[in-house]
Amino acid sequence: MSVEARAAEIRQVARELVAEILEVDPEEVDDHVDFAAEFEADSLQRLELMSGLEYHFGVRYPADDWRELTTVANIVARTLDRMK
Amino acid sequence: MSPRSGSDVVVTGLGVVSPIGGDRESFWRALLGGVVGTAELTRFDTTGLDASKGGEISAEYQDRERSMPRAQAFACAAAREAVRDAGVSATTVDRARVGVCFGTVMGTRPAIESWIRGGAEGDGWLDPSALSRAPALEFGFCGPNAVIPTACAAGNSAISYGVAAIRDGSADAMVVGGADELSLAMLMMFNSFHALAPDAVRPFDLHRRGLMLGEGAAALVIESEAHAAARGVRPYGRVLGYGNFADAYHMTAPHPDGRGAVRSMTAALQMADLTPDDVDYVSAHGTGTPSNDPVEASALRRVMGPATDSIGVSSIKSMLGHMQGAAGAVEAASCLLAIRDGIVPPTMNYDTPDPACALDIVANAPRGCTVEVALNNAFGFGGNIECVAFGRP
Repeated sequence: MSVEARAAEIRQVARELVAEILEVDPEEVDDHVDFAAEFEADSLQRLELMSGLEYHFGVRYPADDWRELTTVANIVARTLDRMK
Repeated sequence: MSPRSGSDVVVTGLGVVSPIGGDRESFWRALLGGVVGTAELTRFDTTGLDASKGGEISAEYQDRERSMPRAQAFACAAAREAVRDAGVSATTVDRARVGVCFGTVMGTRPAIESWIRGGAEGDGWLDPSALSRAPALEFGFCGPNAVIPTACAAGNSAISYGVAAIRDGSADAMVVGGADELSLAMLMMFNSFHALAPDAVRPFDLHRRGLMLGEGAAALVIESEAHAAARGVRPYGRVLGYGNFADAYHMTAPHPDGRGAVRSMTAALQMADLTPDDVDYVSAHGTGTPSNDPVEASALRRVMGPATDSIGVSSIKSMLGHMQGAAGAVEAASCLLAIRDGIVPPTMNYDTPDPACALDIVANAPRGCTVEVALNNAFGFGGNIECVAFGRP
């Protein structure tokens, strides 16, 4: 799978997970919207998002990454990084 | 008491910050690998002390977003890992019914003292209750909240506090554990008793010279069995029973007959209707001091009788140092991982058996064995004692 195709898949999964966990419309979750600022994502929801991504992609983020997974763009970059 | 009346609380999440691994699985791998995490201390000037080694976590360790005492940062990190591990989510738990309880020896005092020494330029008052308040604030857990400072028994005290809160209906789930950071005050205190080991911690060994201090935290997510089942999570094990009694004997020395230890171990077994034959493994307090180890060994024999010889015993303080208020909690995590994997961690640096500590010591290498029941001992200085029994899920 090309990097572009993988990024597109991560983007798709991330949007769905964010929408599900934060109970928002997937259409609202664009690449750069900050979950905490826009959707009031709290710590527990951000941890849940991180666990969901790890489960889906079989990757493991460093413990501190939960603070950084705040936009879809960040998720795509950091997940691709972990898949290398 | 009805059989297994203590089996209604299960452990569904574990988090560990330790000198041999900053997360649960790296800690466990290092523990089974016999990695000794004590080394020359870097954060303290140990000039004038008998010993200069300890179980230190990276000096740079801090919470990236917030300035807080190290002990509090350790507690938050361990809680975060345990909460994630348990799959606790805003939709599957009622956060008003999740509480937090940490045990500690020193709490936030080392940070406050360093601010005072630095001219009191600290950014606010941080009382010791921050250890449980900060994780509660982070996750919005509004259930019962407490910090328990029962010296080196505190990690186990927090676990039993949490079990009681779940059983009495105050909480569905609790994040419980222990956290402490190294401090000059504790180093000086143990130095004044000549209790610091100069080269290695050798629990139950004839040539043991004392303990080394360590730092870190461990957290467990515990919840009622029904609550865990409703969320569809698979527990590591059960909290079967606990016992907490005092020696009420001496400021520092254990009671020679192990008065509090015998009662505490016995109570932990009785709460779950267990007999000594049910116990497969004991995670000993095993500090490696001349005074603790023979008293603990004879107390164990008094409680377990002839079954003593078929119970594997280890002290992981040989690798971690004595993590103070975190010790009971990190040893509880070790018991639950032993139950999960069917292997118990070693007592390192064990070379010469001491006839006064005649136990089946799991020496220098891990031992594969099915662990149905594990007993976790935590004996506090001055005779606060708390023992907790864990069992298979």
